[in-house]
Amino acid sequence: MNERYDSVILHFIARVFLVPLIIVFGIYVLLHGELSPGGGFQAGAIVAAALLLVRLTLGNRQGALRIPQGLLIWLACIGLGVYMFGGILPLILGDNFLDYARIPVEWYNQFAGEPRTARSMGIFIIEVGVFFGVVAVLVLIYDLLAGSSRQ
Amino acid sequence: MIWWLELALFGLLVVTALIALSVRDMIAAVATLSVYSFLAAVLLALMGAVDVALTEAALGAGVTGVLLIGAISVVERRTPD
Amino acid sequence: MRVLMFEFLAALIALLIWASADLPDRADPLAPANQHLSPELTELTESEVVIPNLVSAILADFRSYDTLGETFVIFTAGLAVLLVLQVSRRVPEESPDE
Repeated sequence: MNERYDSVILHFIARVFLVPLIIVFGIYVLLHGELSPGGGFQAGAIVAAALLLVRLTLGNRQGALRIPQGLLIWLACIGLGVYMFGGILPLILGDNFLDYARIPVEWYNQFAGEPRTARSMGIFIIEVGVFFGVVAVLVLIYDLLAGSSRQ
Repeated sequence: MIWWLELALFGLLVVTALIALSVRDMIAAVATLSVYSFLAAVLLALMGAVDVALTEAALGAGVTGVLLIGAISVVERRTPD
Repeated sequence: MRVLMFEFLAALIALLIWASADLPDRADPLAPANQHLSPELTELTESEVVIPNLVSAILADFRSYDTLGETFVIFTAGLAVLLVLQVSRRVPEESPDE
């Protein structure tokens, strides 16, 4: 699973259609997590599936979307840190842990032009954290398995 | 309503699970498990649990199969029994 | 022995199918499972968290401690795989030198 699989049809379908489509759909699922079915975990799994598809078609050594291992570990830690930030920010503002009632959202509503409550803003922060953690951990596990495989 | 569709999907689910248990080649077992996960995702979407269906289709049918194939490529391909 | 096992399995399947006929309909609002906590959470989602996705509101707001634990579990799994596979890969590289 480390070498490149040479097939024009496979490369065309995977690189031109599937991978950009899956990544865009994953980011849509993340951003619309409060409005439609989905959320951080699902979006992370979808984007990680796209990254694994690149690694399967192009080979593990020369994949286009290759991420170094240290950056992956940092991404997992950053995801957890974003989640903890979404939990500690209400503590600073004078509420309980993970109680988003007083997160300021007026600047965001003026910037984006949409009404959004403080609680949906807190949910969005948390889903971004889960997204980065899931993507980084799934890609990290695949890279380690492929690096230690014999063929 | 469409109870016969759900019945057919349940039957296929049981059949794919039995095939995945009984087949010797482990790559074939992983492929059958992916089919099982996809059928389970379709069933969950029919039941109205679209969130769980998204997770099952992305994780169960996509990522888990790839990770299991990676684990098989580290060890032997055929099972002893 | 094997015939006895198949008879036992058939009896169990028949018992389960017979018992599932008495279950309430799917998504029935009057079922006992939907009477306990679901109306309260639905009303809180409509009044406090103003988002249409009830599942996200429950997972990331009402039960956000659970999601925090889930994120920690995923992170720990990745860390464990990192530790195990990195050690097992480094051992055969060092052994021919000695």
